[in-house]
Amino acid sequence: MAEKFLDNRGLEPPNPMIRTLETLEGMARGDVLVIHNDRVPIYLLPQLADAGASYEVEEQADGSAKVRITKGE
Amino acid sequence: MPRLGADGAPPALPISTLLVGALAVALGGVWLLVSPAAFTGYLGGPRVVALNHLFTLLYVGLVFAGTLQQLPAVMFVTKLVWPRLGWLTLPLLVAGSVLVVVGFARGFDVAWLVPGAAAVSCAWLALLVQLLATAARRWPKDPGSHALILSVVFLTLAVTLGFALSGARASTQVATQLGYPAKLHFTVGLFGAFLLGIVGSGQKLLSMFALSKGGPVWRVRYAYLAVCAAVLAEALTAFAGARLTHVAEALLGAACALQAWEVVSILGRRLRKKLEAPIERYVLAHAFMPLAAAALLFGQGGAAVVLFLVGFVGLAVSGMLVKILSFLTWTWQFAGAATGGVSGGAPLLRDLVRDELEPVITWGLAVGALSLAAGVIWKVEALALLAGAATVAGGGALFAQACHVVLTTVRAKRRLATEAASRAAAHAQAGPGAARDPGAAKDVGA
Repeated sequence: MAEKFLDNRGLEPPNPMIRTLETLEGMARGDVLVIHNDRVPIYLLPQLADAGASYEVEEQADGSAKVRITKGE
Repeated sequence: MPRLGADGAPPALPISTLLVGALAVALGGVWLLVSPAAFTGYLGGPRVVALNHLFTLLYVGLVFAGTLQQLPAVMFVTKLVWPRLGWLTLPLLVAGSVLVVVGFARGFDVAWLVPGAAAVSCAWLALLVQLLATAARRWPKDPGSHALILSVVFLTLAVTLGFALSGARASTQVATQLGYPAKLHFTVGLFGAFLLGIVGSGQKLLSMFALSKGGPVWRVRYAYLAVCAAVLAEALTAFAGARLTHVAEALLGAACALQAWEVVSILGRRLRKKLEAPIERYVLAHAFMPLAAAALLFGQGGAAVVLFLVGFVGLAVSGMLVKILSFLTWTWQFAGAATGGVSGGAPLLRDLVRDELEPVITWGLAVGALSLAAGVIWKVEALALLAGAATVAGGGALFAQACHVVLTTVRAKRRLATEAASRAAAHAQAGPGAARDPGAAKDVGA
């Protein structure tokens, strides 16, 4: 299973969300995408649920957030 | 329990504000239904002006105010300053708006209008300061955010001008000093506040909901510059005796055309081919702008206002209201920090919305706007009555949809919590040697 990393820091919203969902679309089931955003991508989470992906959010000490997304169905 | 990424106001604030906003549309429809004759005569009468302010202050204004409690934190990628300020400003807005509406309905009663307008002005001034202080933490560089900030500046200016107008009615001294710049109040509110609000937030939200990749944003910048220039032209007309009304109208027409072009451009770049019904409604709303322009060209100013305000603004705001509410309630209930942001068990966004209500909202509000404009043009009471019935249906469906979104999300969270508690109890009864249910801990919060 492949693992990819996207550094979305510094991008203007909603580009981090679109970049993440677009990358996720090109991945296979079970693949993992780790993203690093300036803040917790609060509006991305329901979109991930809708896309059948599971995720784990890890808030960083500097206020940024890493999200580990596993592509589902 | 802290929420994950809790950068905006407590969610109950924007959610309750959006619910009151949705209710206001239905109430406006009922009002129209019981007094259709008001729209077939002089449009400056108490009932028409009261209904206009119910729509602008209690529907559009509250949806804007509610959205401002969450959206800036997301758009500016920072934390909202004074996140609990809304507990003061939002009740002030509702109470002040009700006083203004009642004041107009009672025949421009200044005893109601002046305190109402003062309360609304204070609330919007506080919301503007909050927005500017939030933006100052990480000043945005994109024109969409600039348009949003400008829209709140103009909305504050519009309600302050409204306060000044109510003062002019109450005091001849104020009237002598200020004159009666009602046209400026109208332009600042309808175009400066509402059009730019839709331009700014719409550009971000439509891109997000349609999954549209970034593209050129010059249209947004020129749209807000055109609106600023139009407001300046109107101000010079009102206070300096310049005759720039037609210049202002041409600039506002250009701003509307740029907004429609921007929407087409965003849709052309989208990854999500099938748009959801509320987003379709937001897009459809733009069809009312050329209709309003045509009405204006044919000398039907009253109908043009109806088409722009009820048609364009009303439909666009209702579409975004449903989408924003879905996201807000979902993240409120299912983005809990208790789970460390682990997914699982939460309902899908699309399951929060009742599909059958969406066409009722869209066509109810659209038919309401069209038939009211027709009633104003041809002065036919039956058309205004039809507009009232259609708006009751559309507004009622919008309020029902908003309640459904909130209730479905809250119930789903409770169900998951109950199921998790049952599993935990069963696990405890089975004893320490029993197999651990990995879902029991996760499902409670996410």
